[in-house]
Amino acid sequence: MSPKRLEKESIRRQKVPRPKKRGSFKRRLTLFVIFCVTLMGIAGTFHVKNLKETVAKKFSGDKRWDIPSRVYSDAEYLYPGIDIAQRRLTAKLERLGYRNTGPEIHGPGDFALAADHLDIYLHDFQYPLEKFSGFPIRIEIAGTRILNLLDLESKEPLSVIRLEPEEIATLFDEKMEDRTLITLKEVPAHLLEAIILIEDERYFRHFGIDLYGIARAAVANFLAMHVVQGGSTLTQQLVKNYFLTAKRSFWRKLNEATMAILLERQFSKAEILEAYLNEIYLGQRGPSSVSGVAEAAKHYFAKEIGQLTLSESAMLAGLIRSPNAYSPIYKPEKARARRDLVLKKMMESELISEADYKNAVEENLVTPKPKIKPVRAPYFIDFVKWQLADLYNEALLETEGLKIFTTLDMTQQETAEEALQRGLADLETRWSQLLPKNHPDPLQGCLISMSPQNGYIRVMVGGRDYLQSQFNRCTQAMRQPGSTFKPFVYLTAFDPKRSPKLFTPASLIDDKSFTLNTPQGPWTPLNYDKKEHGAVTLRTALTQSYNLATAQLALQVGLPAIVLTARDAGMTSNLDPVPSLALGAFEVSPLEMTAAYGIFPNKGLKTKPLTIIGVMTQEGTVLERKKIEIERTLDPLPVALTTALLKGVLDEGTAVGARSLGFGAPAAGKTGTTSNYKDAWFIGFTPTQLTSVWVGYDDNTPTQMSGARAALPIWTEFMKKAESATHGSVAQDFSFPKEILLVRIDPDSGKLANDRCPHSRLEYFIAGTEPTERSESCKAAPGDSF
Amino acid sequence: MILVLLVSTGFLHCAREKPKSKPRRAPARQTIQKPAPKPEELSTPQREASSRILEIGEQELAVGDLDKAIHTIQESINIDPENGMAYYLLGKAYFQKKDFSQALGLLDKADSLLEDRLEAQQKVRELREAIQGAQNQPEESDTQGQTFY
Repeated sequence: MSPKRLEKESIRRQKVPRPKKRGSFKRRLTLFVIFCVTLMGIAGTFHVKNLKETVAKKFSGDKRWDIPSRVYSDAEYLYPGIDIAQRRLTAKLERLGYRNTGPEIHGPGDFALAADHLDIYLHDFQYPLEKFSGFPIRIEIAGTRILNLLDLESKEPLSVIRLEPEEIATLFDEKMEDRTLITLKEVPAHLLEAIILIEDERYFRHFGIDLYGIARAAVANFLAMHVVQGGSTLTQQLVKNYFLTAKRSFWRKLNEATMAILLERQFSKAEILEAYLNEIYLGQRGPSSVSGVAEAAKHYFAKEIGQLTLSESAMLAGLIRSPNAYSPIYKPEKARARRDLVLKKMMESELISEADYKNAVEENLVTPKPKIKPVRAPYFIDFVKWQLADLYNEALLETEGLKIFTTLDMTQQETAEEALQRGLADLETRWSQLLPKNHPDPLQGCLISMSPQNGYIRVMVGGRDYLQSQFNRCTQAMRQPGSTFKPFVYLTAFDPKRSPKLFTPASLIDDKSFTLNTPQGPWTPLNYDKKEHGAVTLRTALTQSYNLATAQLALQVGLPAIVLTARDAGMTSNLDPVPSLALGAFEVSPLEMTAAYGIFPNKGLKTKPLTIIGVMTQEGTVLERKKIEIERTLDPLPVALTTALLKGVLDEGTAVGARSLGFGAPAAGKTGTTSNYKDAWFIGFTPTQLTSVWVGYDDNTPTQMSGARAALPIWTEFMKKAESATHGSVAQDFSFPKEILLVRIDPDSGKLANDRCPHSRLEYFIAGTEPTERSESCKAAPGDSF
Repeated sequence: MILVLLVSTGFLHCAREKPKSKPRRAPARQTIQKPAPKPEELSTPQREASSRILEIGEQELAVGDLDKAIHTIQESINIDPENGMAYYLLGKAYFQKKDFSQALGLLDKADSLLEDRLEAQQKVRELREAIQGAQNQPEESDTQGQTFY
């Protein structure tokens, strides 16, 4: 090698120290890897620490789940005489989750209907201050009416049976999870065994993740060339559902595994298992999910968790894998096959005997009818929520699992909804020539029904279709009551403490046109038929709804006194003592007007309307208890006279149409039609039920229909069914105080009469106010004396 | 005079049941009548069911379980809202809870439904007097005779 080349070589070697350079890269790479690993280690440590804190924070508290509050209807009472067809009892049982098990009942939640009896195995139910344990009963039936009630265990007769309140709404948060919490002790052993066996056989042997299970699943999946087995443990499933999302990703899976290990390190196997049983998704009920085994037991078998049979437990355990694919309600064949697989595995694992297995696979699968409507009586529920807002905030209602007991009669509510919808549709068809053409909105209406004695609101239908319009016309609409206000004028007139002049139903008053100068200008009332009727009795004036006579009477009685009477009846709206007040020319909500009518069947006692009976925590502590509030505000005697006249409205007055439509029970009421036919009303009552119907357009467009034409048929349709279901052919009549007398009078003169008078009739009087003078048109018989 | 009229109403009622065989009636008897019977006079399965629940409420009231008694008696009223004795017992329960105005309102209701039952009316009257007496009693002062302002 020449010196030059040597020099070059030397320079090259100096310039490119390859071996040295290669060693440096390795070191750098090593350093980089160490750095990255350290960084990842630090990040991982922080991440794990975060996960640990998340697990501890979310899982350590007393309250692991937000439980929705539930709103219940009133309980249903069954006793001899009730018409089970009119009360739609089997539909009610199905809504309550009872299962029709054919010829006989076997356990809680079953019912069996025969020609002459109905057997029911009553559910357990936690009432405020009372835990009811279900037992089997028999309802003996004659035709469709209850004949006798029998306790099937003791064979003792019963005088009354109470069916538990019906869940009519659930107040969810945004997660919409329906859940009933249980403790591990409450879960039957065969359900626990079945779940562990089918979902995580090695649950008590792993530490959160099951490496053996993962390997086994991987092999099985590889051999099958698709996913046939999962390697997730119960702990991992709990972590996925409780802490994470269902999104499939590597990071989610890694977090799931890490958190599962952390969970197992911090909490016992029993705690984790209990949480799993409460958390697990087990199907869908409309927009809400069925979460946890206790809720699933109710949903699929109408049972409490402790009442599940081996077969049902196996079916529930089998559901976990794919609740919708194995739904006993919608996919009974698949559900049965899956159940049999679980049972077989239980037998092979010697958890059950061969005999148990055979019995369980032979067990018939009966599920209750699924609930279709997530919310029933939506207008009523809105009103209840509005009232609850004064007591509890929204977040509390959506998370604390309160039980809200209401006064609603769900069967009557359904009858009322049908009556209103059908009635309005019928009006639109039959009277289309009267209704405005091309009106953008449908004809609307509202129906409220109350028990006047205790103030319970039994029914509230605030409109024709809640999905179309949520505006509650019973509580939010302010409408003119028209002639439905007139009874308060007559009531004032009959009360000597309120009226300056004594009036009786036989007093005569002029139904004659007049004009009154008022600060607002001249006021000239008109009759519905635009005619004058001369001197008429107060009975005729009210039953025929004469405006001229009523306005005259109001002026004689005094407008401030009438306002006071309306206030004493419970009206709170603005009532000005102006002449048009007597004809109902002011605004009031249908609920307020209905409640004010309560003083008539209640004999002058004002009762506060109630919708909420009580509020209870999920543990059974009573938070709120509403009491029946009764106050004497009006004298019973003038009230009785007004009620007697209002009876005449149905029997011979403007509401006589109710009789021709087949409503025969003793009842009283008043029609109402406002000027230009913007509002059509009928408010009527029996001794035990008060119902009002309003019909009109939301935008005040005239309907050209009177209360008798538009509202009365809807009222009649509803009341016929309501009355028949409870009283049948022995409807109760009104009772009157002993100071009220029936005296035969001549209605033309308002004076005493006898049988020889051509038009004589019996009239109601407060003792001491009856006429003493005999009518000229009735010739006295020899010896006639009074 | 009223007594005479009421008696005559009873005769008229009897006479109405046998219209064909009845003798010629005196006009005064035809002229004045008494309206329908009181609901308390009726014995219906509904009343029986309500009364059975009321018995339980009465027992709860007797042992001083007032909240439970109120709950049970309200159920009894729920079954038969015209059961006068239920309002009386509910009034009694509220009296024992010292909710006097509530109790008096319920007694008004009981009164209106128990009009023809003299024994029950006597009970209502006695309870009303007891409530009014309790209302008129001065507030309890402490035993030391001290007055707090």
